[in-house]
Amino acid sequence: MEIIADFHLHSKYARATSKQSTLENIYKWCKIKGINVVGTGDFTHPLWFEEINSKLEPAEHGLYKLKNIYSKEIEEKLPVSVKNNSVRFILTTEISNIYSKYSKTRRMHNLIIFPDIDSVSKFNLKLSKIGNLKSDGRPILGLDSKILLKIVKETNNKALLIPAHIWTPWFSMFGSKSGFDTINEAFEELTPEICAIETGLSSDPFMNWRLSALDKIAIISNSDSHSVQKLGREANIFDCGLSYDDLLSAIKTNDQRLVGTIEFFPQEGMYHLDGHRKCSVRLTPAQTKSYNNICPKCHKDLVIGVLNRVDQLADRPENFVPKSHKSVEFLIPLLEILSEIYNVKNSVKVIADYEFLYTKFGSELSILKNLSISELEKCGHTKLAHAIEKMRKREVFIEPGYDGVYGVVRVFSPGESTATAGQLSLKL
Amino acid sequence: MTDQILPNKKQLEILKHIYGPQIIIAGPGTGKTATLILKINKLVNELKIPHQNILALTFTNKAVNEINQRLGLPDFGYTFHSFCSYILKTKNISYKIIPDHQRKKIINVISSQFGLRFQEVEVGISRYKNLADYKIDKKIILEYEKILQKEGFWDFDDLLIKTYFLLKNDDAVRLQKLKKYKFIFIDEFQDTSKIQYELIKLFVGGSRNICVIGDPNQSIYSFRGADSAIFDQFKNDFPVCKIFYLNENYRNNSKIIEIINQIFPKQSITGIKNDFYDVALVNTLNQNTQAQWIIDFINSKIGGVNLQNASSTSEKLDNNIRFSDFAVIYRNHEHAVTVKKKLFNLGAPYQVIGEDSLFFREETKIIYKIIKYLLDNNYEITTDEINLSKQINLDKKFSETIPSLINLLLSNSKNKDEEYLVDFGLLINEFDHYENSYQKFIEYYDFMLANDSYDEKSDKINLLTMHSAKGLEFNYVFLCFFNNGFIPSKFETDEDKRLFYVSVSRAKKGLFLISPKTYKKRDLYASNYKQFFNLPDVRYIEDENMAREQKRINKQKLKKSQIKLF
Repeated sequence: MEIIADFHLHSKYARATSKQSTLENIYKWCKIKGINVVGTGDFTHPLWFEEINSKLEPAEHGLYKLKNIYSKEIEEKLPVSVKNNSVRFILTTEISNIYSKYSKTRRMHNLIIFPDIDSVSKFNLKLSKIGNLKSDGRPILGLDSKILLKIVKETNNKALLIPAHIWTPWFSMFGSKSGFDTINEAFEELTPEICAIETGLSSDPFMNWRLSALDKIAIISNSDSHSVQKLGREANIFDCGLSYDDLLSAIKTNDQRLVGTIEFFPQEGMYHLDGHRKCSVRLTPAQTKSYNNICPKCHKDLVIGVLNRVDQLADRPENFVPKSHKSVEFLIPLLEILSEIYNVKNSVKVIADYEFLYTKFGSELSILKNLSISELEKCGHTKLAHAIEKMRKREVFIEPGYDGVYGVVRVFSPGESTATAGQLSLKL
Repeated sequence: MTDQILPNKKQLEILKHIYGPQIIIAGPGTGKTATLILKINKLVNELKIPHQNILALTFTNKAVNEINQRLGLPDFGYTFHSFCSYILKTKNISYKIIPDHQRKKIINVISSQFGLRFQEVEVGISRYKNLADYKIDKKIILEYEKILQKEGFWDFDDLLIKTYFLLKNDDAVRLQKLKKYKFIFIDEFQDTSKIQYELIKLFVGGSRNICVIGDPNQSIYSFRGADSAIFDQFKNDFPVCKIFYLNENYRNNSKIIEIINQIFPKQSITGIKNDFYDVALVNTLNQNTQAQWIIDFINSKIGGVNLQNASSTSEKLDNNIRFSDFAVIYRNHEHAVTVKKKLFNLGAPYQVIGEDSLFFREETKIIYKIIKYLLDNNYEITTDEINLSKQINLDKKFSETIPSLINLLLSNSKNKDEEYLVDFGLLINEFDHYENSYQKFIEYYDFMLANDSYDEKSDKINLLTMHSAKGLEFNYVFLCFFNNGFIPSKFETDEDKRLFYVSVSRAKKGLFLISPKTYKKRDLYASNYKQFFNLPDVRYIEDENMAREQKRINKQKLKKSQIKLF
């Protein structure tokens, strides 16, 4: 069966997250989005873990579901079109490791997946002695990532550690400001335990294929969302049985059961290009090189983005595509497309249309991925049909992100959208 | 451990002198432990002296572990206490050491009985037992001894005393031991008490191969009966002793050494490290801004513990840094409550070195227990505590409940240390901000119980008192409350100076002395020790946050006065 899974997200207990990120809301939005397996996130946080314990119950092996008393109420308010989408939880968390290795400060984020509540309890107990788990859903530990991996494996051999958003400059395995050049540097003899990496918003599989070192490793994508509306903006598509073991073995073997990923246009990520936010300087890797990595405005070191960093570590040319590879689908969140069509942000109208669309056609991901263009046109959504068609063909206009500034991806060229938005608006 | 690799000239000279009594005076960071290791290595490896015939005594378990590790001899060194327990074991003498909380309880009872402060009594007893002059009535000490005996316990001082008299009165044992140890080393000699010294003297054989290493300027344990005059006594006892000076510093950068030399001008230390350094005097407003300044600094060095401040501080980054490279040093644990609170909220890992944490005190635990009981009646507390709890109502705001509970506790008994409770109240009064402030408080307390202790291997920001700083070193040191009345204390004794000397010489790369202008509504004045910093390159920093904090305080005051008006 096809399973769409998003492993990496944060609860209301993490820094800078929406108060709305409760288990009930995650559940509700997964139904609307069409996500079948979703990470709990933040299981190291004592209060969040307590909620996980009290509100979830075991479902298929290694997966959990929201108890009936909580789910019923939500389902009653959802339209038939999305109500029956199956949603399971899987136990996940993210750790921020800040430490020094080979005489350099390292800051690395790691995603961790566990198969059962008992192991998580043991794991949390071990970590609580190493650092403070109570202040942030993503705890900061002065702990070598390799040692963390060791603790993960000692606690439960089936658990998995996945280096998170591996290219972002400040907090990642390959980050220009914080990381290593190879997986082996970071994990040494435990490197074989690293069987997957997370692309992060600012990179896509195409960029990662340029490193032959990643050939045998599963490339996965997650939303890392800090609010429920952003769930599934990146995700993974599996074709396997619904259980922890099925999903994890698909990742470990990287076989055909891991079908592919749903991607953000990487340019939209906030660390795609190089630059300085404060100086409003945005540069391509080639430009950065011509400035010797120094900001032409303030003359300090530039923040080297993901594209540049990939270039530094890659051993294959740009546009390299392996002979056989996983499917890659670039999507733009439906709310963003609607906002562009109306030229407004998250207005009442946009949200009303959004609700109308999933009520009529089913989950957001199924609309973006699968709904036939003619069907949309037939129903009178000409402009939206046009937009989705262009998105699927990757015919989009992009202003890339840099140094913490999100990029802007538009389906229509600037003139095209604003001038005609009024006339071609959805007929709902 | 300093970064020295090969023995220097002085050390080579010391190595040539194998036999006879020796004193090595070694300033901070001059490779004291390294010299000890070199000497022992030579005895064992070149002169083929079995290591069982060498006795090496040092001050802490940490130092013992370091020596053992560097020599590759797992059970070699001793602390005075572990040495005593070893000897008593060979004599089949069994004993029970009193648990610390029980000992404190006894002293608590006695001090209220005699109308004295806890600390006076504790220090008096220990000084008496270590053969130092003591300032309390001997009756008090005898009372303490009586209770101890009745309960069948020894305290740590007894361990030394009993061992000493056992050996002194028992020639057979002594002779047997004398034969065994052909060489004796005492590390941190300045902190050796008289009884410890007398004990070791019993082991010094005819060849008088005893070598003591230390630094009189770093003697900071007078309250335990240690005294830097012990060096003079050694010279008296062993008039032919050779005296060596180690003064080449491998730890600190030369700027910090200049300052160290200003504190004790007679002992001139030379530095060989000229790399990056930073020494600054920081003026700030209060505890809050002091703590914030420290946290901002750590953030800027380690690259921001979160994304929000990662990229904005990139130019100040230290490219090889970890959490354990930072130490916040202060006179008393009470001075660190705000720093702790802010670190907790930030989520950065930290630990407190040394004992006497606020969270381990009986006084504060009662508050915790009562609140916990009120939240969950299954939690077991004493009848006294239940009675107290009846006067407390958790429907009230947290900031109202806690002060009234503290007042109850203060009025109920006289022997409680008032300051601890007041400090504790200040520390937790902001829990009002939370939705379920009582639950949050319990969690916070649990966390503190688990984390307010030292694990030297873990990578966390260190918080410690000046007294716990000896023998440790850190890249960046923040010294809090660099003000008269704190550093130095209002008595401005020699020991204050030595304590300051020890604290300052911990810093390898950066030293920041922070002087708030107020503390608990009192005005503070700059430290007299500022005089040691009249050097070029010392930075003077005015904390940028002062104005904002002052505004906040004024606003609060205004609010309060308005409430009073209506």
